[in-house]
Amino acid sequence: MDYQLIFNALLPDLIVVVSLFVALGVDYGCMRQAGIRDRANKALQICSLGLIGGLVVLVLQLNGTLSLDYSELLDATHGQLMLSPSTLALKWLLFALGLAVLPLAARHMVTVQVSEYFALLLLATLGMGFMVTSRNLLGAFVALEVVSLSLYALCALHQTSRASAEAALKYLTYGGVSSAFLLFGISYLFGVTGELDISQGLLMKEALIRAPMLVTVAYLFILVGLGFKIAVAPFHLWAPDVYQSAPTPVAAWVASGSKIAGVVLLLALLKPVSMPSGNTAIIPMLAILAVVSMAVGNLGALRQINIKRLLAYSAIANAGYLLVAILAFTEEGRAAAVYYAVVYAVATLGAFAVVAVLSDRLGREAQIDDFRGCWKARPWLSLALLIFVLSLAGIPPLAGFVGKFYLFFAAIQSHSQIGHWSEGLYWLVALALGFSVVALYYYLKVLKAVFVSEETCKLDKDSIGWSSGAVILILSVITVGLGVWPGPLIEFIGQFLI
Amino acid sequence: MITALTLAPVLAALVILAVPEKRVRVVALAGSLISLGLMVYMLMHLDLDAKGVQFKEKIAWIPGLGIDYFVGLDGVNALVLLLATLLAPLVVLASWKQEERSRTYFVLLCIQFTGLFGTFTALNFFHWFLYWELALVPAFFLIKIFGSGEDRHRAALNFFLFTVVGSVAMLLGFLFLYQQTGTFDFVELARKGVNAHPLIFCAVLAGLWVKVPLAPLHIWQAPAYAAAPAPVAMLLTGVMSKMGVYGFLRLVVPIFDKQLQHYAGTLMTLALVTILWGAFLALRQTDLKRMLAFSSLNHVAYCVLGVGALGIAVDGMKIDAHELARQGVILQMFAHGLAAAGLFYLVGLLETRTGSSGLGDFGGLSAVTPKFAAAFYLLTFCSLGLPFMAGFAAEFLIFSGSFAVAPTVTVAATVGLLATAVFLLTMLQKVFTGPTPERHNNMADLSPSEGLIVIPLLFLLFFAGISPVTWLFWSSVLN
Repeated sequence: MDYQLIFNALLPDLIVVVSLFVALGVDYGCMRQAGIRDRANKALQICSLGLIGGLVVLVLQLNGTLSLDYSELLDATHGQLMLSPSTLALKWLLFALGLAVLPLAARHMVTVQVSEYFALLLLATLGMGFMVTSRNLLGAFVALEVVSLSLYALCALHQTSRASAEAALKYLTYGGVSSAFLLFGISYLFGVTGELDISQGLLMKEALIRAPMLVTVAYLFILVGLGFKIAVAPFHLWAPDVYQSAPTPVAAWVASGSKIAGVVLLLALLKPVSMPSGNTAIIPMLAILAVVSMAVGNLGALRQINIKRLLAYSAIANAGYLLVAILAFTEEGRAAAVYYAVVYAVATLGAFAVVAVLSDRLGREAQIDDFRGCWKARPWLSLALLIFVLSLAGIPPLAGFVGKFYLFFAAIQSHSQIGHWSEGLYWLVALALGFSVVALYYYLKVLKAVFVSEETCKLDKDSIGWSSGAVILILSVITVGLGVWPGPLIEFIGQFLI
Repeated sequence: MITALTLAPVLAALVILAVPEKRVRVVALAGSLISLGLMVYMLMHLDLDAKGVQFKEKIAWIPGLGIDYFVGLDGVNALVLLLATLLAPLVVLASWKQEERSRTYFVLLCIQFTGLFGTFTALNFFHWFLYWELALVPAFFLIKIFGSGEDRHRAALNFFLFTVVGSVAMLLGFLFLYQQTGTFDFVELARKGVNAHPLIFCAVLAGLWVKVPLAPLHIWQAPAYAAAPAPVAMLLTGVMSKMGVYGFLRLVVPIFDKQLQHYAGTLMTLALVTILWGAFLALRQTDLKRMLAFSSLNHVAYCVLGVGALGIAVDGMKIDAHELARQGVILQMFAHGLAAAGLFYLVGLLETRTGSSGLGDFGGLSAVTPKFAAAFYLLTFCSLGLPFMAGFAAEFLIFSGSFAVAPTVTVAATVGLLATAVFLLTMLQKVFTGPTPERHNNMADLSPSEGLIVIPLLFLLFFAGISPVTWLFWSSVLN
């Protein structure tokens, strides 16, 4: 085995790991006596540097300066490291989004365990990076567990809040069960193919012919397991509580990063069976999950008065839309799913960021009504929230519109001829479009509170700090940019997503 | 050029965010005047011998999905785009006195202009739809934030949701078309012709149906128009309702010609129902704004009657009924856009001066405010279709075209004309004649600055009535 190669391949992760330990060490070693603010700032600096270092090395890997032999690496690690332009770009994106979460976490410390907070965030980011690069069943599972365990702990970090502990416990129990399901499914897959590496997919095709029933059962378990992670109904019960009660930056990270990583992993796992002969039993399962998610998410969101809970239901609904694209089982569908996951993650992270900076010092969970008249006190933040929420709602010219358009486009294109309405995914797309109209109602409810009300806002009027401000600005620019000029990203995804 | 025209207002919106609050009107006006200037320039520099679309701009936008940015000017959109660019500065002038949250107001207004201009120039479904939806968002907030009456929240939400339901149906239809033809390009689609399932046609129709609107999907209209501030109501009735008719001309007539032939009778019947329904509902209204809203419903439905006539075969006729109907539809859009915008503006003035808009609250105003009354009379007469005014020319063309192909429906529709005359004259009588109530005795007459908005409208209406050929020049030459 060529260790130099593996070292080069893992250099970004190593830099992040080092910064993680440095942050812990500095906090424990020299900052014990300092105030929480100083400790948070120090940890923020160290961790940000680590992530920036990782991002730089990833760029070098992407543009070929740090040359890697991808295929040899894939063989040498039994599929645990598939570094292609697409996976590297996704990893880059996850690191970048992770970097965006850090300043939000530093702005309002909910715990005295400052460096642990940041270390866990970095650990989750690392795990997500491995999730998108791994094509090995066991490797992917371990990466997923790294993410999950970090997130369980992060949810519980709100020490003074009982709700936070309750949410974390719920998350842990549900998550543990779902991991067990996932592992069970993986073991079945391993049983029929005798191979953990799914990058080739050849063995899977043989297995499908040999034991189709067993493969179907394996995928049923995998869908249940991963369904929990990306909050697909009916496995969504943890999501509203976790989103509501976890510290807001953590909720943002659960909603954005782990969603992207989960969707990419799901796509990778489904790829070997995504062929006309292989998916006969999986299509109805996925279709049911998609319909239930869209229904539960959109209808559930209508009655929410807590803004983070509303975003949780919107996450469930969006998981349903994503499944529609995944169901297409075409290259186009996979590309659309990834594109949608990215724009969704950016918009939802932005929305959480605005909610975080406005309401974290409220002392309780922010209701939608707390945002009434917000435009007067914080016009720019309100404008950013408008952009993110409208993007989630799929209103042009924002990224969410292109995302939805691409997604439905791909779903309909997946069948070359549609004679009747029940053929292909036509009915599913019609349903999804119907639900996206329902969704407008609750998104508009938020915007109505922010912009229409004449009341004076009771929210935080402190300066938001340049780093949080920059994060929100960059995310909103991306949301507008990907809406007006989506060509390059769609090209990139279409070209490299194999 | 067209891109500049479309984006000028939205750039103005960005500038508005930066300049001090008292300058925002000027910037908005400048943005809309730039668009108007570009429009006039383009009309003067049209190449009259060339066939097809002019001032084309075609750039690959999202190559992965086969989507081009494709805009252009042709006979179908020239006049309606001119209407939109003409009304835009007038709407800004009409909102000059908007003091409260003026920055937000003008930003929304400018974004709305961009949405409207974009819809009228786009020739690729993707960004046509993008602008179509974009025009909705500012309208929603304009009604909701700046509207009047407690009902405005409901009205805005209904308006938004109704239209979006229609739009998503249309999106579904076009995704299906793409699947069959592999293009979103309107010109290309029209050339290929489609052989779609009736449901697909219905899906596309649904979007336009709500937007025009045709009965029974018009129920969002009157509350929205009544709740909107007067300048926004001008825009809604003057330009936004034309989006639907324009959609018929741009999408249904060229692309779905076979389906149109098949369903022309149904479409004309629906238009007839809407004409009559609108007219008779208007008869019963006691509020001026709602009455005008239903009058608008009734007038725009004439356009759809004309569109329906385009679908009926004209073999062996001495006149070109299709051409008559088509020109009539285009002129009716222009005429109704100007007249209805003017009427809503005047009713808005009435409301700001007296605080009421009920039909029974006024009387004898022609004695107190002669200039105001004169303007109101003239605009109403144009709506009625009095000769020498644009409304007459347009309705005449539509009726002569549709009578040639569908006499029964057309004759029935003339009942609508009669009812229109009844309610409009009743309105004039109740508001302007009879004894003047005490409280209105010192009501201010039309000021010169207000005249600045009304006079161009009246001038254009007379011009288009006396010499419709001038205005139909582009639509007849360019096709």
